[in-house]
Amino acid sequence: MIETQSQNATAIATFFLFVLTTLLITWWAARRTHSRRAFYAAGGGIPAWQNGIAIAGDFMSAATFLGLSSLLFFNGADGLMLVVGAVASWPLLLLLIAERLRNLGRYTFIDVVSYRLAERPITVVAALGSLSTVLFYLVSQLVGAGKLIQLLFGLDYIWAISGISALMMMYVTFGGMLATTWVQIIKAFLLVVGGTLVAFLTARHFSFDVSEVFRSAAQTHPKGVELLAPGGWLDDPISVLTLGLTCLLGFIGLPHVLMRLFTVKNAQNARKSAFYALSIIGYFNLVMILVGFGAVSFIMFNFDYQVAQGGLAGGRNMVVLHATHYLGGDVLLGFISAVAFATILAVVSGLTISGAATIAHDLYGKTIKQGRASERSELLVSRCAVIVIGLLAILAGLLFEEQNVVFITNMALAIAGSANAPVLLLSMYWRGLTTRGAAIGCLAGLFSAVALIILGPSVWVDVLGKERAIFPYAYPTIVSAPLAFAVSWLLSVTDGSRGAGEERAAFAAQALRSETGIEASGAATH
Amino acid sequence: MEAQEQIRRLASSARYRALAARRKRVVGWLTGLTLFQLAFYFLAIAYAPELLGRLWPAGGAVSIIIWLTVLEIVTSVSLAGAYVWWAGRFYDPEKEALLKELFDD
Repeated sequence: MIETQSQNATAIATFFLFVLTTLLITWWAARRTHSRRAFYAAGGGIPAWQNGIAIAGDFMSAATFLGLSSLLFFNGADGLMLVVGAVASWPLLLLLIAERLRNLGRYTFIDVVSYRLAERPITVVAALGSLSTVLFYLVSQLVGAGKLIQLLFGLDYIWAISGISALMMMYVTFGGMLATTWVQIIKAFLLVVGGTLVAFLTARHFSFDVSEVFRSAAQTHPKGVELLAPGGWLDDPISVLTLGLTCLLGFIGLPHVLMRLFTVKNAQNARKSAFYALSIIGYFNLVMILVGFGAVSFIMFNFDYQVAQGGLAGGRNMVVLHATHYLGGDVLLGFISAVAFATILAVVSGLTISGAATIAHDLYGKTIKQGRASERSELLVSRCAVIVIGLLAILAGLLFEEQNVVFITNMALAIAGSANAPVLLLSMYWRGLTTRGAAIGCLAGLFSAVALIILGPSVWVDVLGKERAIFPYAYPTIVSAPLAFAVSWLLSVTDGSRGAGEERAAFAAQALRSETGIEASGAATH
Repeated sequence: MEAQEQIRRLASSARYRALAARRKRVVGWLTGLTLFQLAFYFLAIAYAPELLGRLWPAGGAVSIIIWLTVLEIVTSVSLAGAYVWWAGRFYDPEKEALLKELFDD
């Protein structure tokens, strides 16, 4: 049986080593973070390979590490859809977005969206989409993290989320993007090493016969050989397709991931970063497939990992930790628990700096001060924004403690895919987009995504306790994303204003800049 | 040189237009292939789950969807890698040479 990690020396040692290292890095980074560019983009001089690892660290959340293995364990092959959705969105991000984004923007994707459109309305609307994504994602991470750390380290929930938030605020407030980058690099390294180790031990358990992993899982699981077939989790075609679309558009519209592409010197490095990130994410997902199916044989009917009432000790997301304990005992479990903690910390730090950049750079600097904010005042606002986001996250974490937070994660991805991604793609590739179309299209995507999630099974049935959902699908993207595209198109083509004409005329120059990088900001010395 | 002048020179360069068109073709093909493989995967799950649940090779223990998932991951990395290789090998050097030629005066 797993003991709480308050008794596990390896967990405590690894955890303190990680915190100490990252705090030292924060101290080092703080001495180099005196300008806007240093704070938001680490001076724009992060090498491509480092940025690629950091992007992977930013992208692979606790959902990948804990949630994916659990989904494969309980639902079998259906969980593979999330694997493919997460991985296959990356070539599109690399091919269509990475270089143009780096060439047109400075710190956030909103710079790109507002490049040739009316800056103030577009910035406010896009910031709404960006902040909603960041906050929902942050809350879902924190609630999950609070429960996990409560269980693993024996801490009270409130201390768990307060501790994470305090560390996250410290990293970002003092060390900005440079500290966040290194936290993410270390986390990605630990995650890949930890995942590889568990996968290796899993394979060794089956004498390195991979097919035996799946054969044994099918023999052990109550679903039998059906475990290896899709169709049990999402049983109608539209649910499958909307999940695919949510992954595709949602992952390319995540503001904290897009922001990382500004931390490199130029578009070539942004492209390479995305490729390195994809390679790591692809590898890690392959490893997780082995771990998730392998765990079925060790854990499914192992009473050491079950509670008396039935079900997995510690909840559904504990699969990878129970498997780790089974394969490597307390020492490996301690290490992997600390890795899970590092995973959460790295992702929430990335989310926080992204939210702070949107508030300070987009809303304060560009909208309120109309580009006339001093470097000092904008940095001060950034740091205050970090603290406000951190405190809000604690508050929301307490409010949502007893809620099923699945809908919050769905909300974040659906908004990213329905509000951020459509307006970003259209602004870069469609000459006809105007301010009116972009602003109202973005709002249409945002509000329809939120409304349909509330009317869907995750909130209407699971949270509000109604018998039947008004909107039948958990992910609304199959409606909300096309709606955002359609509204943007319709309101742009019918926009006959003089401003709209000028915006269309500015597209050619924007396209040339986005392709060549002329006038793009390069790296700065720290 | 003024940014407007740079834009004007780029826009009027036939060599630049040819290079941009070549990049557009490469990106277009690779994007098309990525979307095709993704659409194929999700459509297959949506409309042919029984087929994907079959074990392959017959009598083995690994179902077609597991093979397909591994293939999707490998293909995604390969398609992205192909573009990074092409852009680094052909596009970037030619673009740099062209920008140097157009703007170094």
